[in-house]
Amino acid sequence: MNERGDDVERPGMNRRTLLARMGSVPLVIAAGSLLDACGTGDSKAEVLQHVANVGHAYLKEYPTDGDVARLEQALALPAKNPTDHLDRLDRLVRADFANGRVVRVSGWSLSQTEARAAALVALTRK
Amino acid sequence: MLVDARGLEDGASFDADVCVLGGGAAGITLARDLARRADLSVVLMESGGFDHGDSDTTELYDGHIVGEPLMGGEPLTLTEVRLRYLGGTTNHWAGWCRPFRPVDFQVRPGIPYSGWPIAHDDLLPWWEQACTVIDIGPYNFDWRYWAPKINAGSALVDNDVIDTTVYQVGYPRAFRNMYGREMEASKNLRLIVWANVVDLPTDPSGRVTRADAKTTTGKHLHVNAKVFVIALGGIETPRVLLAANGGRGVGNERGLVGRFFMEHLEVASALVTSSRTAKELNLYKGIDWKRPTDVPVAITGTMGLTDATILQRRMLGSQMILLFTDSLDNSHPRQATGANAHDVGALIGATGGEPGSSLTVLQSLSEQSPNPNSRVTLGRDVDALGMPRVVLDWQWMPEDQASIVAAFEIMAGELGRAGLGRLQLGKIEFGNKPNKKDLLDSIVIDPGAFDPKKLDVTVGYHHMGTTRMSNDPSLGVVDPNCRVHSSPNLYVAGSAVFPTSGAATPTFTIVALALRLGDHLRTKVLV
Repeated sequence: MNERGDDVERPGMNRRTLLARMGSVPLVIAAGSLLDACGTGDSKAEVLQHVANVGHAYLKEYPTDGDVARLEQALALPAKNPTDHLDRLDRLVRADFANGRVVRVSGWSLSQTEARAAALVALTRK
Repeated sequence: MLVDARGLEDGASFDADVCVLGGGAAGITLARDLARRADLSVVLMESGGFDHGDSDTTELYDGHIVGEPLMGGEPLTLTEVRLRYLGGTTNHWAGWCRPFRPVDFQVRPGIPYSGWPIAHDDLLPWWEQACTVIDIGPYNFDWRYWAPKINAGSALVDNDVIDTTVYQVGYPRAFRNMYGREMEASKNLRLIVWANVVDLPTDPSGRVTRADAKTTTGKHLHVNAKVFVIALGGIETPRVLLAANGGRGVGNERGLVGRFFMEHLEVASALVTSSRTAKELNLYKGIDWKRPTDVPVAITGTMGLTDATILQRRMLGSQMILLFTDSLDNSHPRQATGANAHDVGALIGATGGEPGSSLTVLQSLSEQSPNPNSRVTLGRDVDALGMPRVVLDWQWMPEDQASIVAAFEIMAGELGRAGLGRLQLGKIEFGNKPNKKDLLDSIVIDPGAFDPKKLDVTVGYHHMGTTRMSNDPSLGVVDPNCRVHSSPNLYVAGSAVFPTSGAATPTFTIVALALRLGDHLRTKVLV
């Protein structure tokens, strides 16, 4: 690989394989209280840690969102199967960007929805 | 024909149809064009010789910077941002070529002093000719045309808000190497080296009667010509005009000479983690001479605010360059606290998007608003030839920085809206880079230290605007044909005539304007 990344294809990190690695993480995001039901794979834990890091950073800058019930209500994600949640989340996230519902977290421009989802994970993860 | 002014008898005199002062991109282009395409005698007067390093000549560029500093890694001096020998700044030019956008020529609401007296399409014939002069590919800057030729992927963002165009980047294009020998051999062109213009006396009508020059060895010489063209760059051109005519100045009746100095504001303060792999982003890879093309150029894409965005949001032009790109897994920029690129890359995947795959440093190259208080004046001290030294007071407007930050935010929105990635603003320190492969590992980003009103701005060595073009003598020093309003036979070539700077590198347009001036002189003035 050169400095501009000529051959840096990362076959293991497309959406399908990420899902496989994460197990039911998206469901966890949808309903943080179900976190314990998701199994404990290393990859999933790693991803959850990353997501929680974003959540903690968000809550530091937006402490009024530090309430699980309020976040669940704001996200309004019914408990369906994980793939449905992913598609819905993806649509919500894109719509946030399209409509200016953007928050600044550690300098990152994030959608309000994804930031709140991360906060939910941060608050519910044990 | 080559003439070394140091070997002339003191007081030597030359006659020519056209005297061009300054052997940089503009001067060489114009002098060659006139000498080759018309039976005109041309003198091209150059301060230096064929090589860099004469300290007495370089020192003539020394002056004072009293406004915003010209930042490279460190503050730069006026002797570092210019090269005073044949070829001028083409000797350190990276060769990036792209035309300005149509919007760059328009009068724009919310941008005082915007608008050129010529339109984008007026320059098309000369931009096309400039491709030949600079020896790049055909006049085509559409990424769809070039991507298949260089085995590059598609554009990351290319829509009505932010579009992708390409730069054609020639092999190192020092004009002294490309055209020095040709000019030596020309029968119509006398290339006088080691000659420094020190005065342009005028008659009561404003007509320049001759160019007076000196060598650093003490010789004097004079050039008599029908037409004089100053092509000395955006700092030296106003210096000579302000000092000319025995210190009374030429072309400065309205006090405009030296005002509206502009640079391009380069700000590398963003990281982007994208769902695209680094390989998929190779359209934006930068200069790579190994890529396959059927023309001897490198191609690299940049993303920029579209004309519609610039107009609707009353913004200044901005383009985004992917400085360095690598896989996210292999990139470990340091960040003391908060969410980093790996965290955000994972979050994107966990919320239904394509997870982050690559990481890149995003640099903006942006237009600054025309500002009459940003200016070149003369100091009280003089150089070894008795010429007043330059005082550069470069100033930005608050909206210049606000527009850059807004451009980054618009890019962040477009990346998010399309599910292509996320953008982080932060103060970026570039550490020691043993090799570029490790660059992303060597940077430190501090989002908390990012101050949108105090950006880390570096410069492009692009000096523009100090003899701006306008139909109205109260708003510009030169007319649309680049003639000084108050002089019937004095013209300016180069980026000093740009009324606005756009967000494209200037040399391609400098060459085009010089060719356009050559056409004008051949067909309208010297017939």
